[in-house]
Amino acid sequence: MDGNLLAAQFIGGLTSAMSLFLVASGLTLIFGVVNVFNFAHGSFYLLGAYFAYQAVAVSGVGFWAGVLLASLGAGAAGVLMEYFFLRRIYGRAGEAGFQILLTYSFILILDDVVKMIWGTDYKSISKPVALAGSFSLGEVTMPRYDLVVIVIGLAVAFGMWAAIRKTRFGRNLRAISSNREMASSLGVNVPLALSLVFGLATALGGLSGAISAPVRTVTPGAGIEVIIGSLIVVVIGGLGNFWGALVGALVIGEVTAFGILFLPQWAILFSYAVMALVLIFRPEGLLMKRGAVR
Amino acid sequence: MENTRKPPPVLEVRHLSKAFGGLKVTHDVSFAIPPGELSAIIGPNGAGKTTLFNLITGKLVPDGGEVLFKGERIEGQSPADISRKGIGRSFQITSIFKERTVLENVLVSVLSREKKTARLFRRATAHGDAVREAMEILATLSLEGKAGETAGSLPHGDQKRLDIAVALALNPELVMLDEPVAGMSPEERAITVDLIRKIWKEKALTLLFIEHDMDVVFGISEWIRVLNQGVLLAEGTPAEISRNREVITAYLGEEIVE
Amino acid sequence: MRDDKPGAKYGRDEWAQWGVALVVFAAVPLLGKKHFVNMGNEILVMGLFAMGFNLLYGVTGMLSFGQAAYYGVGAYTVGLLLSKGVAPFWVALPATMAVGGALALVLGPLCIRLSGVYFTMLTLAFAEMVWGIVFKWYDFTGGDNGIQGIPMPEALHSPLRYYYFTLAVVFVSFWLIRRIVDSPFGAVLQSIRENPERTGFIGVKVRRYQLAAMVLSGVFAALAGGLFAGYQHSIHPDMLHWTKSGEVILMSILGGVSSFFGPLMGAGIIVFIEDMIGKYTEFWEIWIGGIMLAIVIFFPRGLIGTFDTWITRWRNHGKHAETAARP
Repeated sequence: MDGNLLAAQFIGGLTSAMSLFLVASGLTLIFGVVNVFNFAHGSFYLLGAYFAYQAVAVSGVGFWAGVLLASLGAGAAGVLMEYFFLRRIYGRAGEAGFQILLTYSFILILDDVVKMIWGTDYKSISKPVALAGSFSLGEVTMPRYDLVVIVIGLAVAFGMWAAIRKTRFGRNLRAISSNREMASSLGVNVPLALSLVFGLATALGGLSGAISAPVRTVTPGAGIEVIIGSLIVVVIGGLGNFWGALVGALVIGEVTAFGILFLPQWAILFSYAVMALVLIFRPEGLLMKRGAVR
Repeated sequence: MENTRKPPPVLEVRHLSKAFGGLKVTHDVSFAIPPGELSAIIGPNGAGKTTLFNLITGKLVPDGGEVLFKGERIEGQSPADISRKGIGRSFQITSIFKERTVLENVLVSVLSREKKTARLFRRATAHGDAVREAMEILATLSLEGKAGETAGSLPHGDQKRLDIAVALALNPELVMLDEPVAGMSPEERAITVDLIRKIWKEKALTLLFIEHDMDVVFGISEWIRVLNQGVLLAEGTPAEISRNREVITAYLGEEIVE
Repeated sequence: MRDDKPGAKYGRDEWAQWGVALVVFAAVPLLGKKHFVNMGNEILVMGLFAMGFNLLYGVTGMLSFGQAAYYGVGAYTVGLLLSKGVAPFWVALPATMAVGGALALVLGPLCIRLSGVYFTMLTLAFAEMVWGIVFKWYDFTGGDNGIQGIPMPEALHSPLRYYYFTLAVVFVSFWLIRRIVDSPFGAVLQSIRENPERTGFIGVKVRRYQLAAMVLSGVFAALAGGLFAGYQHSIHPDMLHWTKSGEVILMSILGGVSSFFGPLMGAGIIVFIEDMIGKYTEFWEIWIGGIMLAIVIFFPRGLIGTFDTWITRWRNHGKHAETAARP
């Protein structure tokens, strides 16, 4: 097999890893801070993609402005969901189950809302002209757009890491994550912070959907595909572990990319196989401390 | 001086250690409990008493050291395995099956001990002997009148006694009670302490309990062990402990010693 | 929270429920419309699916989002064995239970390595994997074409006969589930739901029982799938789709997971609603989602549970209303 093809697959894997990471990192952020498993997180990816389509292909807004609007829109939708619905079940007995059911109902609702507004046809938007071509790195050529996606993914990763580690807001989030009451008594506005985290995380999901729209077609039903992909990612990396999401996304992105090369029909099974192996040998995830989950 | 025909201990702990992060919550703790002893573990909050219980009963895996039950090493085994060997425990924060009836709480424990829990079709309540036994155990803790009530609806003191009943249903040789009378009224305490002592005598149990109420501790214990900051500070008879200088400064304060 | 525990003694109320359920379902064909027989059949099948699911969720406290895999695998067991002429229906139907149980024995140990939401998501992920395999394995399963024209034995050719056959199988299954819930084994499952840690401290190997609950639940789900395949004579990978798992959860919580017949009642309501909605709009998901949202927020105890609460409140004239009403 020639090296160029392998390199191209590798870069393709990296690109989809970044798109997965943006969703998975939001998922893991919400889980870590708000202690909610947002089953509907993939639906915000879906919203991001359709918002971007609406802005760029229909309303004719510039590409990057469209991406920005789509992220903000998805984030706003996330805040609304947290504020009007999720908030009502915090602290209820058996909360975990109800969280899943509540966010599940949003998958169904958002799926149909998208179908009602935009129909069931495949949609696509074109890459910005400046990024349409590819560029060469020695022997290897890669699409320029992919490079941008990878850079955005890494930038968000480091930006989030810095925000969580270095800022006051990040310190508050860490306090909330370890002990909500304690954080509250220290003067942190917990409800506001939870809404903000939800908005931030769903905006990341929307960003992922928006920047993926030119490379993957936009369809309803992408929400569940994406949530399962991110789920596998966070199980591999360790749920609630930020760097784990990055590692998990890279593993799954590459495994899928090379899986397609060797066994196209069964490529999807590879990520499940990886997840099963992780579960058998390190059920707490690759980057979590041993025995953290029991 | 020592009795040469001393029976082997029921429980022996050797150099047991456990740390969370950098904090050593159990540090090189060793002691042995002879059969039939009724003893207490005391110590200030955060001394590592409950952690010690958790290490012995399998909720936690020790970093180092050994736990021997009737001469057999059990450290690191699962709570299920350790319970089956004959160690029953109750919990500081009452741990019962709140939405099940009082009888069901104890019955499931009896059925588990009798290894009948794989039975799929005969009704649990149709196991007459097990039900009768569960009722007897409830009676020893004065709960037989509440057998049909939902456990979670009982007053606090009854729930604490039910927790003990669930442990006793395992027919354990060693019973470990974590603050069995905490949060009870003085009258209820007295009743419960009497019940515990009676059960200990009648069933010839080895009983180990954690308690903060010094009247209870000095009232019924034959032996007292004092933990402080994860270290076994002292052990001895109640009289010895109440005179021990170190214990007094670390924990008891002056009012205990006249 | 649950005054109507599945483990409670058979009260007069429950005998009445058995009677009413049997009479209602037996009487459905008397309405004389084929459409009602179809619906009755679907309610019975989904009811069995939901009651089997509830063995896992309502009884043991494990929320699986992957039960459609077992349901679908049951359907494909009947579909494949019959259409390839390997075995007759009378062998294929019991075989669904073996296949469903076996699948749970493979996936279960992986899923129960984690608990809580992790468990739920793993069941979902592995069910999607099974769906993916069925969907893509054209040579064996027919892929997204599904299997049509499943040959059925002469004795069950008429829909009416098949309906009564389903009725019998489903009610026998209900009775089995009832016995299981009341058995010592069932008592352990309920203990695990209430307090898994304490269950370990009474000498129970919790994971083993959780796996057993998954297997039993898978067995009944697969049986329901097999019954459905026999009625429809055709199957499709959609039967394994995750929305099917969601549907069965919705049915259970709608009816009430802590009452024995709650899931059956939920199945009845949802099948009915889907039938109604289907006539007017293609957007049924939003309805299902909306109903689910409303239940989660306003009626977390389900309809039967909420009804019970009202009765209790009314009987006690508000005496214990507060504790009884707490979700």
